[in-house]
Amino acid sequence: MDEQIFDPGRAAFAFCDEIEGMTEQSAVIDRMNIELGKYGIDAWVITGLPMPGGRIEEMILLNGWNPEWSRYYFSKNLVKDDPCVAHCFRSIGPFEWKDAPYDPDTWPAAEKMMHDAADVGMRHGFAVPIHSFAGFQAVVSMGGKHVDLSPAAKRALHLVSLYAHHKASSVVRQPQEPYSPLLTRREKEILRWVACGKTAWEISQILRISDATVRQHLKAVARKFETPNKTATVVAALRRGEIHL
Amino acid sequence: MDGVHVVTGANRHFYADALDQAFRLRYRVYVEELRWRGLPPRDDEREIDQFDTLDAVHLLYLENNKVIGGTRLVPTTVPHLLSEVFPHFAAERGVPRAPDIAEWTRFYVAPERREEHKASHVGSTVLASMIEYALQEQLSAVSVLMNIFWLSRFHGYGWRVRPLGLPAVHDDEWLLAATIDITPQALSGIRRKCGVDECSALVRVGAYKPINREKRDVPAVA
Repeated sequence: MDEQIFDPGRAAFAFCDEIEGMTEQSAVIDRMNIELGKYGIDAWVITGLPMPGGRIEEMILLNGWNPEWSRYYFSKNLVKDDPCVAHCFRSIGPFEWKDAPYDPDTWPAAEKMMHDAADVGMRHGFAVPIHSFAGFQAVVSMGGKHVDLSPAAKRALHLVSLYAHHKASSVVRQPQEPYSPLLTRREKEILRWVACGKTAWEISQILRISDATVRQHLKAVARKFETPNKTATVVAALRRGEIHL
Repeated sequence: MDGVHVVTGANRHFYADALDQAFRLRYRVYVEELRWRGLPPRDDEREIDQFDTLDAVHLLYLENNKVIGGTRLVPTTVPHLLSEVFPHFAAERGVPRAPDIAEWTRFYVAPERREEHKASHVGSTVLASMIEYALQEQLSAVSVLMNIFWLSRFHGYGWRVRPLGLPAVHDDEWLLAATIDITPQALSGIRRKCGVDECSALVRVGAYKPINREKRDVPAVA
């Protein structure tokens, strides 16, 4: 008897077709478990990401984590120690957890977090950030002890994640508002120059507007983000995907 | 007359100036702003490719005879972008080729008519007009190769988007080939979401040429 060769692409298309008609959260969760299980994935989550200092619990769309890990993650607010979270704002495309950069010397909490995850069976994982024209929206993150992350598997999981996120945001009872962009084009332009290390005066020369106007824009953005200084403002803008480096 | 004009191989002689404006606007958007690589190089500040033939249909939003937005459809029964240049994006499910499927490429809005933080009225009107035109022409679907950013927008309109292949990177962007079902729900979905009027913005002038060679009736000429 010939063994059916698993075709990730074909499986992904079938997944997209099948979840199209679903209206119940539980049905989507079950179907996700089945699909991701084919790759050895036994934990996954579809979630927005909070502003710095915020909590992730309020932003979760569908939670496929095991309950102990969920409790641990929430109680320790690990979103602040998770290098994948930071990388989501930087990366338009999907990435493996192991490729989310962090320096274990300067960020020991990140190292600990990744070890803790591996201890509960989430040794290897894959994250698919979902971006729109408005910037970062959500991430679909998945992991397990032994996960098939071959190139073919990753492409299929990318497509599965795109459709799963769309379905999750339409069936969840209280969908979180996706990040709505706060900044005007001019504000973003100025912030990008600040991120490159330019002073307000230098920016006024580059953009041919007055120094006072540049400062006014920076003050306006700081008010919107409730940040105390230019550096914090730039960080907030990067985290929300309002600007990219 | 203001509105989204249907420009085909049969009536384009009425639209020589509008078409030229459209090609110049496409140059501003695709060459200067988006800096797409791989477009056929030209030194006349117009963006025109090998699919801008007499088979192409241009939907041009004219306001006081000025082109402020537009889009393009090409029958899939003739050479088109997906079949000739990017068939690998549809490797898994195949490039659709049928009289009732057209390929949708190029969607552009004049920079001065765009709106901060939301889909512009001009853009939404062009999109709704594309769906309406496709419905009138009895197309069952349009095929498209798009940046994946569009997926959440189209899902937001309630459009049924069916992938033709898996996402892949081209020119630093993640792209996906797909078809979009053309249904009355697709039209009402975008109109409702974008607050576009229920009444048609389409304008048809001159001789009629269908995009679907198997379309059943010929409408009365306006």
